[in-house]
Amino acid sequence: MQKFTIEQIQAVYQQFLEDKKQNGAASLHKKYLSSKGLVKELLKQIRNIPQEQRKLFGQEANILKQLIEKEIENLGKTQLQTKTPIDISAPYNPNIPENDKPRILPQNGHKNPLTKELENILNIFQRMGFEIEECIQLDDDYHMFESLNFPKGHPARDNWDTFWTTEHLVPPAHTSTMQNRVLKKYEPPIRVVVPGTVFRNEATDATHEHTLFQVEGVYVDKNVSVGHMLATIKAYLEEFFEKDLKIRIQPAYFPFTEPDMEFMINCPFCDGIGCSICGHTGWIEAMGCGMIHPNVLKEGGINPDEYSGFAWGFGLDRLVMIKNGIKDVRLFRSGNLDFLKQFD
Amino acid sequence: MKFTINQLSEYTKVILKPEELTNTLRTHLGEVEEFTDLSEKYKDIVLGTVVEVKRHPTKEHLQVVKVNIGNKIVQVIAGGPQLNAGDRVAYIPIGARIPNNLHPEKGETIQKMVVDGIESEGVLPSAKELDISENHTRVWTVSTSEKDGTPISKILTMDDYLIDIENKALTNRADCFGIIGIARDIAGIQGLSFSTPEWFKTTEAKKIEAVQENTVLRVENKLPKLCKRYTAVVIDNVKIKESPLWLQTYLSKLGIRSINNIVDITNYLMVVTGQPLHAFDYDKVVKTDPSNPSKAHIIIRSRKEPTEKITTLDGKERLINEEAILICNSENPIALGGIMGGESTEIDENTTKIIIESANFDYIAIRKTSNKQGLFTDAVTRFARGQDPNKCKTVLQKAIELTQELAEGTILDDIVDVYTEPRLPRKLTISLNRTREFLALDISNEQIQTVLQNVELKNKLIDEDTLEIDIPTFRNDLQIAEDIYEEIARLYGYDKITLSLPQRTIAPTPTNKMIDLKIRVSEILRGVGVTELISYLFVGKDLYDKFGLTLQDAYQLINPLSPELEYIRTSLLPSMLEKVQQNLNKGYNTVSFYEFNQVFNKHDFNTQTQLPIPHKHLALSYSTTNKTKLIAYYQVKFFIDTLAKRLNLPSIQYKNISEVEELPYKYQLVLPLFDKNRNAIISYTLDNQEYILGIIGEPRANAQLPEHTAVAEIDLENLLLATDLEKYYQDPSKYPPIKRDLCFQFEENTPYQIVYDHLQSFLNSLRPIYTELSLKDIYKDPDEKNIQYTFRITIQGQNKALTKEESNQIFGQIIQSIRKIGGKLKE
Repeated sequence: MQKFTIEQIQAVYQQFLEDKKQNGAASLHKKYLSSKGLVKELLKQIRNIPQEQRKLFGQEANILKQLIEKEIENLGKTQLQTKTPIDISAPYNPNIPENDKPRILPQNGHKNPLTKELENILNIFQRMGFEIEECIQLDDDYHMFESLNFPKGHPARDNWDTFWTTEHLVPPAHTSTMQNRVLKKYEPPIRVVVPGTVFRNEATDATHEHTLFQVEGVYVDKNVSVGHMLATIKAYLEEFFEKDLKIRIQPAYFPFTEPDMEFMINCPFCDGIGCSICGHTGWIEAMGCGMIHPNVLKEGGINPDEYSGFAWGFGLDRLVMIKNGIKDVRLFRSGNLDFLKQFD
Repeated sequence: MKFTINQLSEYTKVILKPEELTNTLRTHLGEVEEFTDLSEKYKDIVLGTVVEVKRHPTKEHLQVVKVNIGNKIVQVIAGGPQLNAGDRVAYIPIGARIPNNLHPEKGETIQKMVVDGIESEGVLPSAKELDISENHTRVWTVSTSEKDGTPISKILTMDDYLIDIENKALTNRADCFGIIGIARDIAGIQGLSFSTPEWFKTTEAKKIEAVQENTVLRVENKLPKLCKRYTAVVIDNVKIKESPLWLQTYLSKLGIRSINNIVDITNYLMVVTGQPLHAFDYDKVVKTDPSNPSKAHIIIRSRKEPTEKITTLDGKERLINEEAILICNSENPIALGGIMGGESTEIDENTTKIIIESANFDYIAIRKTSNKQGLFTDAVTRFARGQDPNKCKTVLQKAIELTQELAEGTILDDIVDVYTEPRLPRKLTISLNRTREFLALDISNEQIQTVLQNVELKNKLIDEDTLEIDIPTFRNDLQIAEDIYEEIARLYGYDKITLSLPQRTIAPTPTNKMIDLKIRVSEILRGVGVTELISYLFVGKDLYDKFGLTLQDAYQLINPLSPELEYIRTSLLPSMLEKVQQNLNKGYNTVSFYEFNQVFNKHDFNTQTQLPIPHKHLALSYSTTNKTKLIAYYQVKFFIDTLAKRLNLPSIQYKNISEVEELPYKYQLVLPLFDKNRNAIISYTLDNQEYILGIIGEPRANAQLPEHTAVAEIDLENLLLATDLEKYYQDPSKYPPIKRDLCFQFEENTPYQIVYDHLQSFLNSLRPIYTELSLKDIYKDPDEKNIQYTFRITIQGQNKALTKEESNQIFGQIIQSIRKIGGKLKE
C-alpha cells in the first residue's frame, strides 16, 4: 500500500511538469490546488493509509503541495491568466462582423527615410555595375581590425570607438569589416558595395548616434589607379545629387588604405556659395576613401603585384538629415510615428 | 596638433597667407579643426605706464592707479602688491573682455566701477587674466621699450594665427607632432626645400648597453623592447622661477599652462620636436630610495606585483596595470613612463638639482596604459604615435642648453644613454612609371625627385625607371612603395590627378536576392498599412524582463553606453513592442510596424566561421486600442498570408508548438513572450522537408499592451528560399464559370486549415477543370457545439462548358468528400 501511494505522489508531480509546459498559472492552480484539485484529492487519501505509514505519506504529500505552489507562483510572476484558445489556422474568428475582419489598414504604411535613401543609393551602384553584399552586425577582431592592417594594440584602433562583448566579439564600427570576406568571395574584377549598420561607442546627442548606416565600396582589378577611384566616386555622387560637382581631396589616415583621403565636394545645397549645411565653407565631406593597402589585398588572397583596388565608406544618416532638414539623428531609430508618418 | 604661423616661421618660410595656408593644409596634410586669429583675444588691450599710485581711502587692500595709455591717463582700482610709478602694465578698457575668459557666456565685458566713491575705468590684469601664466597674485608688469598705447598683442607676440590639425589625420605621422615636423611638411607643400635645424639633426644610431652610469646617475633598462632608448642628465644649481615672457607666450598660444622655467622648457621642447621630456627632483629620487644610494638609480621595469601603486602628478594614487612601463628608483616607481611623472619626485620651488629624462616608449604599451588608467596627456598623444628614438639625445642636449640659459644650471657629468636596439635608416625603391600609372598623375622624374627632396627624403635614380629613396628614421610611416606614392601625390597635389572611369564588361551584374526580397516585402507591407521601424541592436534587462524573456543566451557588451543598451538582441520583438507602446501612449489608436534586422544568440554559433550566426529576421506587429471583435492574431496572420500570396510561397501552415518536431532555438528563446493559447509556428514544406518560416502570436496579458496586440517574427532566409516557386497556370477558359456557396458543418474544434486543405486538394484533383475556393464566413453556434464554414466554390470547364449534370455531380462529390474529415453539408 505504501509503495503504491508514494508512486501516486510522484505520478502527480510528473503530470504537473507535463501540464506546466502547455498551461498557464490559473489553469494549473485549478487543476492541482483548488478544493477539487489533484493535490487536495491526494491529501484526502490519507484516511485510507495504514496508521504506521500515514506520517511518511503526509510528509511527502505536503512537500509536493509546497513544490507545486512554489512553481505556480513563479509561473504566475511571468504570466497572468491566458487568453481563450483560438483556431490558429483560421483567417479570422467565428461570427465576426464583416467590418471587423482582417483587412488592409486604412492608412498606408511608411518607409523609414534611411531605407528609402539606401535603396536609391544601391540602385545607383547597381546601375554602375556593383554587386551588393550585406554587412553582419556581430563580428570578430580579425575582420573588424586585423585583416584590415590594424595590428593588435595599434593606436589607430582608438579612432574607431568600438563596443566589445564579453567574448571579444564586436558590433562592427565600420562596414570595412566585410572587406576581407568580399575579397575572398569574389574574383577580380571585384565591384561590390556593402550597406550595413555600424556601431560607435560614443555618447549620443542630436548629431551623434551610436548606431548608423554606412555604405562601403570595394573595387579591385588590374591597373586600377587613384584616377579611377576619384572618377568612380565622383560619378556616383553626381548621379546621387543629380548635378555636376567640383571635388577636393583631403589627405587622411586609415590603416587599410594607402594612399588614403577624404573626398570633399562643393556643397550641392548651395553650389559652394556657403550655407549652414556646409558650415559656410562651400565644401562638404562626402566620404573617406583610398587605394586598398597591399597587406589587405594579400590577406584577402589577392596578389597586390597583379591587382590594385580602391575602397570607400560613407555614412548615410547625416546625408538623409541634410536632405530632409532633420535636426536630430536619434529620430531615425526612435520608432516615433510623428516622425515616420511624414515619409512615404 | 596645434601650432602658430609665427612658430612655423622659425623653421620655414611661410609664403601663403594664413587663410590660404589653412586651405592648403586641408588638401595636402589633413583636416584643420581650428583656425584662430590670436590677436582677437587681446582686442583693445593696450600697454600703459603707471604714473601715480595711491591707497584706496577706505579699502586698504586696494590701490588707485593712474596709468598713461598714450593718448590719455586713466584711473583704475587694482588689488595685489603695490605698483610703482614707471611700471609697465596692460590696460583693459571698459567694453573689452578679459582674455582668459573669452567666451561671452562665461565672461562679461569690463564695466565702469565705483568703489566707495572712487571710479575705476578698466582693469589692470594679472598674468592669469592675460592667459599667459597661472600667476594671479599681482598685476602683470613687463619691461619693454614700446610706446604707451601699443596693442598688448604686439608685446605678447599674439599677432599670430593658431592652426589645429586633426590628430586623427596624423595618426601615422609621428614626426608631425612637433612643430619642426609640421614645418618640414609645409615647406614641401609650398614647394620649398626644408632643412632640419642643426641642433635637431640626429647623429648615426649606435648600440649602447642596457646599463649605463656616470658619477651621479645609474640607469638600468630592464625593458629594452618597450623602452627603446633612455637618455638622462643631471643638472645642479638650478633656480626654479617664472619663465621669461617669450616662453610663457609660446606655450600659452598652444593652450599649455606655464608652470615654471624647468617644466616650461620640457613642454616647449616637446611641442617643437615631438619628444616628450620629464624633469625629476634629483634629491627626492635619492631620498625616496630605500637602498640609500650614493647616486640616483633609475630602473625601467614593469610592475613587480599586481598590487603595486604609484601616485602621479595629478595627485591620484593608481594601481599599476601590467603593461605600464615604470621609471623607478631601486625600489619604488617614480613615474609612469611616457605618460606622467610621480608626485614623490615632482620639482618644486625648493628644487636645486634635477634629472631631465628624454626617452622613447613603445606606442602600444603607452596606449594600453593610457586607456586603462584613463590618463591622456600631451606626452601620450605623442608617444602613442611612435616617436623616433634617435632624437632623444639631441633634444636632451637642447634641454641642457635652455636650462643653463633660463635656470642658471650647471651640468653634472655626461648624458647617460641606454640604447640597445637602434632604429636604422632604410631605403625604398619605386618604379617611376608605376608611380605615374598608379596615381594617374602626370609628373616628371625630376618633379618626383624634387618633391621628395624638399621634405628631406634624399633620393637618387638607379636607372631610368627606378628611384632609390633614403628613409630617415623619423619617417617610420614610409614602409612600402604605396606610402611613397601617397607622399608624392599629397605634396604635389591631388588636384592634379587625371580622372577617368574604369572600363568594365557589359555583362549584367548579379542582383542581391535578399535585398530585392526586402524591397518587395517592404512594398507589400506598406501597401497593407504597416510602417517600417528601425530600432537598436542593443537591448536591456528591464525590457526583456517585462516580456518574460531572459538574456542568458544574449551576447553582453563589456562597455555598454547604458543598461538599456547592454545586450545584443536575440529577437526583434521586445524592441518593437516597446516602440508600439510608446506610440500608443502618445495617443495613436492603431500601430503596426515591420522591421528587417539581424538577431544573435549564443546557441546558434557557426563553428566554421567561429562566429555567431546572423539571423536575418522580419518582425511584424499590430496593436489597436479600438473596439473590435477581431482577435489581433488574425490581423498579423493576414499580413503574413498576404505576403505569402504576393511572394508566391507554397502553402504555409500554422501549427501548434507541440506539432513541430524540432523548434529552432531562436524561436524557443522568444516563446515565453507569447500567450499559450494564441501563438503558432509558421512553416511550409518543400521537397518533403519542413521549413520553419517563423513564429506568430499574441503577447501575454501582463505586458501592459492592449488586448488587441499581436506580433510575428519571420526568418528571411527561409522566406527567400520559398519565394517565387513555380505557380500553377491554366489557360483562360472561354466557358462560363459555375459558382456555388456551400456551408459545411463540423465539430467545434475542427481547424480551418484541415477543411481548406482538404477542399483545395480535392479541387486540384479536378484539373484541368478550373476551380476557385474562397471562404465566405465562419459561424459558430455556441449551443450546438459545432462550427460552420461557408465557401464559395467556382468551377469552370477548360475544354467545354460544364453541363448542369456535370456540375451537380462535381458539387455532389465535394459534399461527399467532406464527410471524410467529419463534416457535412449544412442544409
